[in-house]
Amino acid sequence: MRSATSALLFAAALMLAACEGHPSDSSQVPAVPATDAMRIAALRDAAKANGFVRAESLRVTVDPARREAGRLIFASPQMSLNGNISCRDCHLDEFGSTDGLPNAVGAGATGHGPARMAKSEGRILPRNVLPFWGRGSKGFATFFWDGKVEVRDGRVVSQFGDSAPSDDPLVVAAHLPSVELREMVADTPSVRDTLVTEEVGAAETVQAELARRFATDPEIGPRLAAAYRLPAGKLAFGHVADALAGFIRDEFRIRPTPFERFVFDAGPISRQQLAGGLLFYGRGRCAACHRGPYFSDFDFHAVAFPQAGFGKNGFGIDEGRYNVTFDPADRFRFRTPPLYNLSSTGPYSHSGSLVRIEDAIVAHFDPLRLVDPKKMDLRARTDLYARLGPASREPLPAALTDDEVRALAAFLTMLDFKKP
Amino acid sequence: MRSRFRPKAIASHGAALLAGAVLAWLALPLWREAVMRWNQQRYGLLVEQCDGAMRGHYQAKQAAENAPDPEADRALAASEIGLIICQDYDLYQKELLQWGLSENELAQMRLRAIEARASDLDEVIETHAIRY
Repeated sequence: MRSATSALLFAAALMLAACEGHPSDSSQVPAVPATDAMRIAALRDAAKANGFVRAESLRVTVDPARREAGRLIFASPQMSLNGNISCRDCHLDEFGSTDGLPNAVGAGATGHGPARMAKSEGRILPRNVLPFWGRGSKGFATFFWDGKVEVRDGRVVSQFGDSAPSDDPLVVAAHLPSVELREMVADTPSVRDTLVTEEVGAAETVQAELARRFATDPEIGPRLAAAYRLPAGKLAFGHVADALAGFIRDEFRIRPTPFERFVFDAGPISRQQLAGGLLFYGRGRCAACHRGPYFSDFDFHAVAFPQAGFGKNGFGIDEGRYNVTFDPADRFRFRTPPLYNLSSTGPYSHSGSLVRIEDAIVAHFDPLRLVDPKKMDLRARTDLYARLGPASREPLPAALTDDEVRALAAFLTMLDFKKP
Repeated sequence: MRSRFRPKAIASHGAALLAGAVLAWLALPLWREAVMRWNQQRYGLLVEQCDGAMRGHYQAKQAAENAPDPEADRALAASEIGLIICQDYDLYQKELLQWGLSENELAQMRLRAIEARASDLDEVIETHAIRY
């Protein structure tokens, strides 16, 4: 009787397997187009209600001559006072304007991608390189993982205090890497003796030298001078940073995405992407923070990502926004990252600790799945407990299944685009 | 001309039909059990997800009423979209009805889903109950 029952159950299982069709099964082949009109309309409405707009409306036009000078500056190692590193070395097209590494490798490094970390003498910087997409376009005015340059109440807030070199936050941000020790300035005894101070004057000394170099460069100098209609001798670092910002603003502007075509032009979407989109704006609660035209509220939130590397605060700790505000409530908070071109900008999180976008999603609601506490030392576990506290007070997603996480990841690919 | 349906053939066909009907009648509970077992995991998950979405919506509505602000409004809007999972639940339930399950059997599946952790609770009670 038992064998007969088993045989019947098996036969029934075969039949059911042939007939199954789950309405929201997100493990379906991505190419299956979605046709559910109610859900398609709901996703379009949700996207618009959460501030999604056409890419073109975010564009800020730049002066072509300044952009061209900025392009040359971007690729020039002369930006490094005593090293041999350019902006391009860490912001590569092949990695979606990042370096493809968990932590950046600064002055002294050679090579690109994994070779840069494995074989070179460069100093490892404690954070993941941020991509440039959308920087300086309309409404994008909070920069770096900890928002150390931002616009508050209409004025630029930065480490320059009241002496900000520009009222354009991107130009202010462009002033910083060139004077960051170990990033573009090699850490040598002579640099430590002469330049490592808390005074803005030291930065001005470095940048005056950089401006002189660019002004006298036979390729860059004439273009920069013509772009600002000045004699080469009158060029200052502000002009260098402004040209650089112009290039970044235009080169890495947001382009139309498959999601834009879906929302505004009745473009296609797969069933899996549709399911992911509805999770993004619905039970996933992603849009609580990842909203607006850049999928970021430009506010600061805590997610208990695993920490990779030695951390901004050492001992494997990075207290994030706290390093800028010194407000204990800001410990472990980081600026909500925008979500364009995620497919090419991994690894993810402020320390680049996660290679797969699916794991980065999981970290938002099930961070303990990504760590093995038994393999962590006491210090690392204690740090994790500290991060879990603020993370648990964020708008938390529902407990998403693996299929749902894959659907979310599929949806996020709709925010990918390529530069022409 | 003689009929093609000879009495012997009619009898054997009738017997086969009867045997088939009896077999189908006997197999029906097994079929239902198979349908229930095969779908319990998926249906149970949808029961849980829809329940969570409904509670989330109710709480977001309460929060928006108690302390209206843009964040509460956004949470309410997200919870409304989240209710779509309940449509998945409804559609799946209707599929199961089509496959021959009755309301009683669906109720049994829901109960199984709700009590998925009941065995743990039994253990807790067993351990902690005061015995007179």
